[in-house]
Amino acid sequence: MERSEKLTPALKKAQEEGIDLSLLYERLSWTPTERLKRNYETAEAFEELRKAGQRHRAGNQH
Amino acid sequence: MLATNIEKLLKALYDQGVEFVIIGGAAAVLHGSAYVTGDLDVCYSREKENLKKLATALAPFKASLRGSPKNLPFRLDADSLKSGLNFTLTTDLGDLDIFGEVTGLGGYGAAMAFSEELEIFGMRCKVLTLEGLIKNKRAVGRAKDLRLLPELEALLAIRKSQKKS
Repeated sequence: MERSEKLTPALKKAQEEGIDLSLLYERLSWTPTERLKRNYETAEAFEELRKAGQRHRAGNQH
Repeated sequence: MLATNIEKLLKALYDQGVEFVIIGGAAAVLHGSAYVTGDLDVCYSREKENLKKLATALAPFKASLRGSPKNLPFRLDADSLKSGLNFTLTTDLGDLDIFGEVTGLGGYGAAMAFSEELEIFGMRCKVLTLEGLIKNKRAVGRAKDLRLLPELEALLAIRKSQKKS
């Protein structure tokens, strides 16, 4: 990847710490509004999954 | 909070002329973090006029203290805001935490000094900078805050490298 050739020491360190730089570059290609909208859409999906899990567990108890 | 509600909430604060800085997870997201947050944290000015504006902006959304008993009387107005500092609220639009101070930075003035303007939904909003977020997360020091540090530092490094090139 072209970007990996330009990694600064700070970015190399981040990568070693497990940061997926491709995720960050992807988000930086979006506008701040897009970043915020997609975040809350994801949070909403997580919340729906959490509720579905709760319903499933409640159903198994009966 | 629903994606559509964040726009409504920010617009209510913006239209009322509330002095606030977006902090916390939403600020991290706005700077490009992959962290996911479901609420909105803001630091607000404690000036008397601003407390009135804040209470007016939130009035349509039935703000109440999150996690408090439903029969506990609470009315969000300038006086109740003045008597407290940090409030964790639940509203018709979602959860909103309002802070008079940001740990590691200080009050609204300090948050402003560590803020930059970003265009969000067509509004110019003040957002805590990456440097401010890093200072805040280090000072708070909980595991969930410290976990975010390497990513925030990576975003800062990307920004610095982009400025150089």
